[in-house]
Amino acid sequence: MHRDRSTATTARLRGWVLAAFADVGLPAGARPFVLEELATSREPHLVAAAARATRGASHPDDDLADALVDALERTHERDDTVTFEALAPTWPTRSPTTATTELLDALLAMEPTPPTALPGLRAVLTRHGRPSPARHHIARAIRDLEARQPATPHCCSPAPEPPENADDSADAVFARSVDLSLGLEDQHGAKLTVGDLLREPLTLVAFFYTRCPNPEKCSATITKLARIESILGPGIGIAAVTYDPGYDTAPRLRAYGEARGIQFGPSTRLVRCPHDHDDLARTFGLRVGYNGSVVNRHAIELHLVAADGRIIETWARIPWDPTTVAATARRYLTPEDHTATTT
Amino acid sequence: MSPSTGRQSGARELVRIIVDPDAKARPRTEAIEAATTIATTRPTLMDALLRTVTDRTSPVTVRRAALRALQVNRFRTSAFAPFQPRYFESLRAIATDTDEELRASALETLAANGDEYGQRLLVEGLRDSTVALVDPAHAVGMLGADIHGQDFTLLRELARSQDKTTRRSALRVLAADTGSVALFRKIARDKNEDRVARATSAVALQALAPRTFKKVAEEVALDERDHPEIRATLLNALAHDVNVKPSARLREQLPALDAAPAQVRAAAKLVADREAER
Repeated sequence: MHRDRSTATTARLRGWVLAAFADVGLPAGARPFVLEELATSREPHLVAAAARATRGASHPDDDLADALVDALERTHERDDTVTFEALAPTWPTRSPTTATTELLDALLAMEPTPPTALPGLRAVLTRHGRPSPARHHIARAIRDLEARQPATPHCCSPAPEPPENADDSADAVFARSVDLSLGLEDQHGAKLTVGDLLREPLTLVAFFYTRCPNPEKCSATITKLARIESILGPGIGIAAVTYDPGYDTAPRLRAYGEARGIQFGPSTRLVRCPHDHDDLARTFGLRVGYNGSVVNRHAIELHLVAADGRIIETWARIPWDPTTVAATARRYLTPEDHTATTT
Repeated sequence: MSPSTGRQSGARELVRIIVDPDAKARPRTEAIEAATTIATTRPTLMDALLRTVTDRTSPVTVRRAALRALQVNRFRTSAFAPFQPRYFESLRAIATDTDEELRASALETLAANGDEYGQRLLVEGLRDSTVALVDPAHAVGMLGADIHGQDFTLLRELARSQDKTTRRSALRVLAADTGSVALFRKIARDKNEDRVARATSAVALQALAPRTFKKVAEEVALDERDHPEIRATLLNALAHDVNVKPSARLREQLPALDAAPAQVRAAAKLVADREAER
């Protein structure tokens, strides 16, 4: 659906679908996509759509409330007027809204209100220094929430339902194995195979591209990989593969990694797959779309891969924490034989 | 009267003049200019500017002044943030305005910000000239501000346009497309091609495919039958390229370029000097 469409068109289509979940209900399998947009999107249209989508959730919970509040904070200086009036709206529109409005309306729609919502909103309000329509709106939302009488004591939120047949499920990734023979080129122009890249018992493999306009995605991913590198030390490889092998040549990979603190070495590389990128994308199940040769959208994704190519663990869509990922990677290394745990 | 009250009454008066439909254009534009430096500190002034820019009953000179004032204030990012949603809503409303300057200015800002509506209008205009809001070269240039907003198939068609300006504009924007390397190689090597198109293609090739660029640049630089300015342009590019080293063949031939036209000689000397520094 996204192939050969601009990033903005892709966002419009995606937003249209997400917003529809408010009416038809939010299935568990769609929840990661909603959380992804709330956590990482810089496009007010998508943030607004994801906020609307949460209104279709059968049970409000702290995770959704926290995601809405975090998105409200990030939207502060980047809001825009959006509309869901039509798939391809014209302007002026009859039904304008903003990301801030949708986020607040989504929070107000949660019954019962998750306990983290009010403290989160108050914290956002204190950071909105200037009088503004948004600040006024947040203050009003706080008053509305404070005035509510809770129907039942809210001790905990029900656990989100597990995803059904979502491609992010653990079963799906355990079944995947990477082709070790695929050819790569690293940040110094050295030719190697995927098998060479996976020289350590385990390797963390992230995906990125240097022309990514969202600093909370690719730039943050590489910066965090550098952080993991300093936490882990030797024994677990660090690799990042570009989504954009035609453009991200060795000098660009090198400059990008160095600028973000990557210390290159035999087990720490940024690579491109210049000839077999489609095969690589298939085996990793990459969450990326293209407009011609340019990426039009992608998720955050990080995989823990064994030396034999098996994908052991995947972190997808939501920003990951370097310390948590490093701890997870270490747990898979057994001290007795330094081989990855088999399932 | 306290200074604060004085400032408030000053702002009130400015608002009154700006939105007065019976006032002449000149006092209204003067009021807008006076309001520009304080607008983000006075929501009523920002509101007046935003209303005026979309008010088609106001004189176009007043509306253009209001738009300029908003654009200036947008540089005050934090102070402008609360007004940003309405600002973009206003730009979309005037993107199809009857006044060419207003719609071009709106479209330029929208396209540069990756706005889906602005980009859609520009692409529709490129596909169907009867609905074009700005001329094709201008539209292509505006779309070029966002590499993620391109229709590369359309751009490759425009790169074959008979209109030189449109063609050159399309080639500049295609420099983001690794799928156009073969096109750039062909144009850069072709002596019968428009020289600006050749230079644009060479620059694009240098960014997209440095090794291919090196081969083409050396071939053209050493071709005595090719245009001196193109030969010099490519030699200069080679001299300044940190990623590729001139081939042994080029290095051997550099002394022979002493007999070439002056600009080629000068560029060859740059290459030689750089090699000497290695």
